[in-house]
Amino acid sequence: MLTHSFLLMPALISLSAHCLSNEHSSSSSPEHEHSPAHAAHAHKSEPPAWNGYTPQGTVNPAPFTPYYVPDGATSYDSASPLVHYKGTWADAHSPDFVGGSSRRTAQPGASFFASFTGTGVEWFGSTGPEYGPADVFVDGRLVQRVDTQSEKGHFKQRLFWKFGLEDRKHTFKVIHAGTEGEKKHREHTVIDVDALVIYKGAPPPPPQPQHAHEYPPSRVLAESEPAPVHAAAPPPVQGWELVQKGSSGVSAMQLAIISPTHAIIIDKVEHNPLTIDNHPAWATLYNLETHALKPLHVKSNSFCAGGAFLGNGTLVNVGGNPVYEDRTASADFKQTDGLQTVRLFGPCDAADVTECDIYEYTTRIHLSTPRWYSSVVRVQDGSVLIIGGSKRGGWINNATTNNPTIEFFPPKYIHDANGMPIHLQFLADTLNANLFPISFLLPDGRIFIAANRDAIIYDWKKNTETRLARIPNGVRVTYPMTGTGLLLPLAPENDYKPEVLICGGSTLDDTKPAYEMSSQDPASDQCVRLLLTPEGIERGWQVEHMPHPRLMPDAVLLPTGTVVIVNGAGSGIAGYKNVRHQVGVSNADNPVLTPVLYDPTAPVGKRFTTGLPQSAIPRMYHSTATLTPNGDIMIAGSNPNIDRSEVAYGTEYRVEWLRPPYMTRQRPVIDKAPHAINFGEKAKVLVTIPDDLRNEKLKGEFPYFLSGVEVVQLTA
Amino acid sequence: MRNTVALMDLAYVTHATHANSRLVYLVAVPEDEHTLTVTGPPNGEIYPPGPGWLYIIAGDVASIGRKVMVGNGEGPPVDYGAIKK
Repeated sequence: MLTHSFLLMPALISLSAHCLSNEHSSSSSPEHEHSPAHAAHAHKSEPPAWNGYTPQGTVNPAPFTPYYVPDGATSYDSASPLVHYKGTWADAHSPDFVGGSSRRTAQPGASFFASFTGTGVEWFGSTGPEYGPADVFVDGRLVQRVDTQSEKGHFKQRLFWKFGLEDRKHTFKVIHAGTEGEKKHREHTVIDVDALVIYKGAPPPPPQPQHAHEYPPSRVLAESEPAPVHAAAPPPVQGWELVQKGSSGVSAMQLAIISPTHAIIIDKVEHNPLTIDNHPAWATLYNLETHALKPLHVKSNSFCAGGAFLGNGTLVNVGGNPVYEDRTASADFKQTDGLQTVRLFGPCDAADVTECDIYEYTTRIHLSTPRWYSSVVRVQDGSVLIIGGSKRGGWINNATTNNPTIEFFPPKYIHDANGMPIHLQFLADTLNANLFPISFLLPDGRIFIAANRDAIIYDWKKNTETRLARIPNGVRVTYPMTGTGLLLPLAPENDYKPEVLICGGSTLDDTKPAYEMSSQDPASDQCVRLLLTPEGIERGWQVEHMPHPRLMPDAVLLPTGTVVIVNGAGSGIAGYKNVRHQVGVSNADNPVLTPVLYDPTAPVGKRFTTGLPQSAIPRMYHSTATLTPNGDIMIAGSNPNIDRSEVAYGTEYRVEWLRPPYMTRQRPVIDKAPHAINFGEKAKVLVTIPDDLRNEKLKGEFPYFLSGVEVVQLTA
Repeated sequence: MRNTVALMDLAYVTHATHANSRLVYLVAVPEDEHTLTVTGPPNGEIYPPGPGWLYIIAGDVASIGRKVMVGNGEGPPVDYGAIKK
């Protein structure tokens, strides 16, 4: 597949101020027929993929319906003795039903009843024109009237669900809800029960190690380096709050703020509880104020895609996974292979997100080569540079699957590549742990890229790379030895001198086979900084140590210039189903449940603040965190599983909000600000500064302001 | 005493990569008690054109952010040489 049929491009990328209109959508109506014909879409010649793990039966994908029994749950068929019936019920038989049969009634007042011990229950059944209302009772109380009528027939639908119940005995009852007022119709309406899925209580997360030094040190300390200091029991830091509120509906593998009111969450194809068009959704908008969800249409598998906003505000989401996972390979989206996909999400700034959706024009707009785990950097002309990746799904990269190239979106006619991939030797030299390279645009227009133990500055206009010193102490920082990176704040006072910070990762040998790696292999606690000026490069990487070792951390910049490091595991490696001593199927263990604060401007040795609120939720592989417009940190995801699981480390939908102390203080207010600001142009911003902040001094010295120039001096 | 204006890209987050995460402090001059004259970033190298968020910081307290489009809001250049055979 080549990129040479890009006819829609100019029209698409000129979109700026609104969502793409629906008429552009070519998403077909994913109606199921009540027939098993979908199984005929066999993908017999597909190579193994999906994180390298291909379960048996992959060649016969089934229709993608909401019915699913995750690890840790039990399904009871309609014919199970668990389910007791009252009134007139009859069995209907079809291979499309769970267990080959479904039990249905057309009698108003007829009911079924089940008692169970656990924390949740789901009722699966059919919908269609002849189906009608039902009243659902949990523990004897009416909790919902469910209308099972739909225009077309669908089977294995989740008609009702209740999670988060206290772990004890519960009762569940559904009554055919015909009423006198509906007499004309009720003789014709039916309800059915195909299966009930009961959730047992999830085991509590494993205890957090008391002290970081329980992990053997994995690194060799440099001679000049001060020994790390681990506080035994840090006092709690006042003012920070951690609140759990909201559910992401799909697992939050990818997360980005799109507007004052919404974040976009993109997952892989799996059996999420959120549904769209009668199948599980794998992308949604999340309302930051009301916590409401708006599922999005995605046609391809967005597993392992990267994303970035273009200069006009359109979000591009590129790459992903092929479609041939057994239980998540859907007749709905057939052969839409995600590896070369470009998904577009137009600007969606209003609180009403009804018209916002994801659009794919697979035959016209796609990458020039398959990319799995590539990084995406917006460059100075508003286009994006797409860096590296693997040519197919897998776990750790290798020479066979490596895609040691870059390309642009929209494509560029440079370096004799004519829009096709441009070779980047650095990506060939950094195998094996080199996926999702840590990449940032620098203030001179070049790109910093770190992969595995190495780093370069890449000049994309000249197609030249400048190699930097190796990251010290053998620490690898990119997938699956995943660390995290940030460009520290840029300020005019020091002429925007760029400095990068990279934290976490692993010193594991990336040439070892998986069976020689363990979920118990310690992660690295190392942070490194490099000032990207001639003097800084000469000085080399500066080494520090976090209070905890961390694999797969998230580093989130606050507007105040400090960094919150959150999420991740204390041991193991990214991915699942690969190494020894898996927990569930997670390659990593020992979740780090406490965020730490890093102040890049504080003196060495005083930069880390411990004692922030501890979470009860492990945030392992596929977890995310982002600053919100409100100024707090949204924490979501965690899913080291091939499909939704309810056993440790299960698929996590709970959202947490880490609130810095300023959230509860009287805050400065932007009363009015321009919607757009051009380069070097002046604009008026109206503000209200609380009296008690007018004369407050910044804590600590701010290296960015060493020149002594005040950015703003507000006088009362 | 210092108050600052931060222009931030809140990033696209996945697999511990925070793509395009960025914080650029803007030059801002107070005109009166309630008015700042803020100068956009010098060029697209300092902050690539695209969406961003403005926060005012007073002491160690940040305001709620306001979305702002940096640059002229136009789409990136389309190079027909690269998309036509």
